[in-house]
Amino acid sequence: MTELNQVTAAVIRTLESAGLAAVAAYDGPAKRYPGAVAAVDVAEAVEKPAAFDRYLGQVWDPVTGAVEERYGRTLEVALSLEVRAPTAAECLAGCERAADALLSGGLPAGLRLGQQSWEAVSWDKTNQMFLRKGRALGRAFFTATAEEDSGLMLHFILKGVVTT
Amino acid sequence: MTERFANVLALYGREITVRHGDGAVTARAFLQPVTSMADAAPYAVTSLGAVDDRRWRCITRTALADGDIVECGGARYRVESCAAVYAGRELSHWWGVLTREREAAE
Repeated sequence: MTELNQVTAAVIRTLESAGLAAVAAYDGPAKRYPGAVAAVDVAEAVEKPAAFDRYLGQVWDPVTGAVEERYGRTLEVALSLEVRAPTAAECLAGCERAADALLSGGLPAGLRLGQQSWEAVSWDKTNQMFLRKGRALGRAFFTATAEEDSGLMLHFILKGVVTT
Repeated sequence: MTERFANVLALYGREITVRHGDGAVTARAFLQPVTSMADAAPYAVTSLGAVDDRRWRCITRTALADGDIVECGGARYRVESCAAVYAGRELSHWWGVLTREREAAE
């Protein structure tokens, strides 16, 4: 999963945990939802310099006892959030739920969204639903570990996301 | 006049089922695709996903309401907008614009 997809997935998980249906934007045919639903997309991403050419240093793995090289990557991201609902009241309530969820610490540690802006509610004729567009700005932090033997860098993982 | 129209519908209309809430009514209707420039690109792209942008015109003597489901020939449609059409004081028919019913989200 790419870094941007990890950000989208983390936001979707957070919104769903807050009780708001959420989907990745432009993903397959539009479906029918009984209430509010948010479409999430990374609209902009700019890489910021991190450490020394992404190198953070060495870490000791207490499980394997090995010393690993750790790398980091920071992206400034602008998220596009489009909340739709059959009624304007449900649309507004969905936006409030999304805004609260993204500001109240439900996101992984590596994703900090500090600024949000929302447009007025409008009518989405194509989907026949009320629509409110929002934008959230913040930073996403990723880390990667180089394999000890080969030195091959593994994928960057959004900090604070549990992987299996 | 309305009686003649009812006879024409009964003779040439297609059988439809109109579902409103828990109730269902079987009726006859003229159901035709709305031909317009939009037909050249029948799908619209939105952040919620791709949308079938086609419309169908439904003319029937059975009452329609926004959000009703109309079934015809194995296809399901949703009433996007509708209105009663009168001839003088008498109800002539109902006119509705339908879209294809979407798959429900899980």
